[in-house]
Amino acid sequence: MNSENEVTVVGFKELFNNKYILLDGAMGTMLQKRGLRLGAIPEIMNIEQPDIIREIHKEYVAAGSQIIYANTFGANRYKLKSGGYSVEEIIGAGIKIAKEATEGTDTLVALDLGPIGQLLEPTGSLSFEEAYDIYKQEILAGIDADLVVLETQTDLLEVKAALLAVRENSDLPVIVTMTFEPNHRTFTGCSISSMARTLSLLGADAIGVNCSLGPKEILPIISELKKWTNLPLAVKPNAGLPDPMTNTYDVDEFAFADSMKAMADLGVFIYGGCCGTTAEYIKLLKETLDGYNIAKHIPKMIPVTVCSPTQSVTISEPRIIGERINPTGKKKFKEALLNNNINYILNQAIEQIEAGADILDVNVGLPGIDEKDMMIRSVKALQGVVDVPLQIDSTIPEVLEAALRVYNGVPIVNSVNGEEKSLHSVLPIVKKYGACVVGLALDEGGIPKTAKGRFEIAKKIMETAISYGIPKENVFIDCLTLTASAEQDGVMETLVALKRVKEELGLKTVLGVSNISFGLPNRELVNQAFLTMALQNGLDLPIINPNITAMTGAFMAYKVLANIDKNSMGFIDRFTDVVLKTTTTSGSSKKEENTVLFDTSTPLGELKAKLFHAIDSGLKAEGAGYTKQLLDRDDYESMTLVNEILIPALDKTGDLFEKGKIFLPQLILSAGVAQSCFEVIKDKMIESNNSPISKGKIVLCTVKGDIHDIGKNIVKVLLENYGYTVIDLGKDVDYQVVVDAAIKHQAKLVGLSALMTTTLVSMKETIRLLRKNNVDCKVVVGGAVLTAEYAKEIGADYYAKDAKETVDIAKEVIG
Amino acid sequence: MKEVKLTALNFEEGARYLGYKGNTPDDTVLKLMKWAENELINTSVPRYLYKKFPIIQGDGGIEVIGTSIVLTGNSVKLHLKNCNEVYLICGTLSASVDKLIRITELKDMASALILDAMAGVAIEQIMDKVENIIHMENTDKFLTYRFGIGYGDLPIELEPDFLKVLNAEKLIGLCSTESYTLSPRKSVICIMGVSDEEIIQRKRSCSVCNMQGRCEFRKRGDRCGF
Repeated sequence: MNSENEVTVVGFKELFNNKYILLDGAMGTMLQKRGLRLGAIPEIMNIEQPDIIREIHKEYVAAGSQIIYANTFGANRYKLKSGGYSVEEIIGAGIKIAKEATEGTDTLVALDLGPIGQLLEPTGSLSFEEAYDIYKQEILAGIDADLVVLETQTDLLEVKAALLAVRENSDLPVIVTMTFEPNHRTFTGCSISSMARTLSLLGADAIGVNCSLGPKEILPIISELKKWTNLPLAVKPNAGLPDPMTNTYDVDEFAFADSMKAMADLGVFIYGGCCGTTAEYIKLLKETLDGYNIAKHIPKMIPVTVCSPTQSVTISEPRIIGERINPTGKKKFKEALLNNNINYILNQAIEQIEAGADILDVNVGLPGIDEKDMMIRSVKALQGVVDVPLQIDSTIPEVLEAALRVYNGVPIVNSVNGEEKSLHSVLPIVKKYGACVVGLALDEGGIPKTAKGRFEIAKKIMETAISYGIPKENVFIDCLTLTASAEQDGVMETLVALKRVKEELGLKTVLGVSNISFGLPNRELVNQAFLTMALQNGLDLPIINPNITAMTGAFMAYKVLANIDKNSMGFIDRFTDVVLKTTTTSGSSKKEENTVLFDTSTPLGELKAKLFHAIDSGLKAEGAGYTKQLLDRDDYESMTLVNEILIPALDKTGDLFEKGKIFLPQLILSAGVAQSCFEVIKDKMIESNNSPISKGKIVLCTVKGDIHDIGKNIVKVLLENYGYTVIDLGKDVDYQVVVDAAIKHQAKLVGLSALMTTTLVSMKETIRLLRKNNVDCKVVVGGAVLTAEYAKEIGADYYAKDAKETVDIAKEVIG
Repeated sequence: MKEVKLTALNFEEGARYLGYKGNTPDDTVLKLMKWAENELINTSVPRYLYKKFPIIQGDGGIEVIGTSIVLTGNSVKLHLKNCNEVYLICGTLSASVDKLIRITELKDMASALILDAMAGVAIEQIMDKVENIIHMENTDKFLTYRFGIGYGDLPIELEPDFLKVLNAEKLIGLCSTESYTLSPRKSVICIMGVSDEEIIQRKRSCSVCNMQGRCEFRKRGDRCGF
């Protein structure tokens, strides 16, 4: 059976007949010893002092290296910017010198690629696509190498960009080594398990660890890595720990070679040295390994795992997939999508994780929006704030592929089904991007009535997946929930099919649960019972709304009863002192979950005063609660509430802020309360089928090149409080994107923010482009580095010194 | 290298960053500042690097020997007067803090605003500790105060070269963007001069600051404390 657990090695295959593979030692520290100045670009020596580079390579070849790394580690267009040579010149020369040094030997030459030197979004400003392009250029320039090595990497997403660039632009094998800190994470927080699962499925030929630490410190990292992959392991430690002051390392060649025996005991197959090591280290390492018994690699079963860079979720016990990021039947969600409101999606994510979701389903399909673009932006934004893995949900293969490309980790694809067209369009991309996949037990003939029919389709999906090279264990089957009210006799068929898939095919199972109760009263009761039945029949991944405590509760109770939640620790932790509110009781005793209790008999005048006070004092939950109470009354309209309480309260705090009586945190606290009141109003209006009111649209962004956005976000909150719809384009926004958004949304006002002197020019350019396109809008600018004079100079209509003043300007322009 | 940890944060500094101009924040805000302090102590992973180099006055500026860096501009010339060595220093609270701020912005903007300000306080306090370590190594010498890259007319464009010399990307995960914003965001990069003679501490002042004329603090009649 085809599985990752059976290793097939391609490319530099012949080397795998050896007992082990020997790499080279350091290049950078060797060059420094030969006088390379700190801060200089070492790769320039490929052209200006090739003899030195060739000499070092030759030393390693003589020491026994079977693969040497060409001097191309930093040869990307960003790092070479000020070097005076092109990427092609530097890499071309680097490979040529290395080939010369290996002439007449069997030693192979690797194109060595280190990190780009800029952080990817959202911490930095480099996009995934640009990172891919930078690596692509390097790979094409180094196509004459025998293999590619990606090393000293710390960001899993950057590695993915690089690995895809290798796969899509060459046939070269790839070794990937990442650099970990003593806490067993990389600088960006990537864990060992996430690295291993992601790179194993993405098609690396060998993975491992290099740099940063010495052999002793790397040993436990390799030991952990081994648990999560069946790929050959590579290790290239430093000569101990560096002293950044003196540039010296504390492990000599004898101790280095000796300590690598422990790696051999773990079955590491590829050995070398990083910073501080020399040809002497490699020579001794070879002597040691030649006379040492290297443990044989025995393939093992690896737990089925989905992951983000920071969090691996093994499907070794039932896990909740949160279903809320999906616009189907949700007006507010639809409106958020139409207005480009990514924060709405992010909040849905955070809420579900706090409620207990282990994985989040992401579906942003809606007629009238560009689903692919929205999916890419949603996935990127989500992985900037959440740690849980994602399930990419779309019916369009192109959308799935776009999301899989930028996803950082091992996601689940939702979904493929038994139709020929679906199988052959979805499964190839699942394989290519190393994902897991949900297979729906339906085909051209619809959903089979019987368990047997669904089981057969599940089997077909599994077999087709295997034929594409997808590990069997990464296929999860959805036996499909039918509605009990319409097809009562089908309910048990689903469960029988589920059980057979689990037991006979040995596959993990997934099921959307809530459909079961459609058309029945007190739906949660039915959902809860069905969830428990399904879990008992072998359901691994229920797709539910985790915000409904009755569902998460049933799930957690099941884990207690099935002896999964040992000593009921998880259950006790979650439910001690919590009294559930269910559809059948109104939750009368003790503490009710997540609600503030209000006295429903409060007179109108008092209620209004209380809401005013809540806004004044920054009391969020209270503000929302009083708003709800006011709106529940027959004699009080939402518009009256806005005009009588919210706006005057905001005006008051705004006024006090202007006079210096209160300060920015207090102003924003009040704005936060008002925001929660508006949310209640919005919900109410949607409930009664009214469109939410808007005074007009304002486009807001932090300009190109600038990644500071807290000031812009504060302005957004205040503008929304005053009833404006804000189209928030985020940070580091291209000039043209601003122009397009202003035209598309017919925005009367465009707000631009910049916090750096170096990005003011972007502000100027954005305004110039707006004017050039004759966009009918006013432009307001703000940010720490701006002055009224400069604002005028770059052609802005207004300069706002703070968020409050932006509101005043919006009132003037839009009304 | 000695481990440097974040401990109690200076609330007065935090209040100043938040624009309180000497006023005391109310209890709600103080409570949030306390919360922010806690979060930052638990979330940040302070890392730093420094290296000492001899310097000489060359034709084009002050040359940092053994590197390709030349410090240009009048303000750094004044700052390093009588100095024969310079420390290049950088430090960061790490990317985990950026993420924490992003998440907090989604939940509550006021908390995020306060967290952002307190993170500014935190990185300065980390740099104070690094500065102390450097002082301990130089008890027989005299040191200038920390002078940031981009202060006065010292070009911010030197930032990538500084990071390269310190090997900051590899050793502490610190990079800069094309527009010279340090990433992770809550990071500092600066120099300190070393002299055998006593340094008449030139007052830190707005006149050497690159924010001169555009400073938020000055706009509201305050000073940043530099």
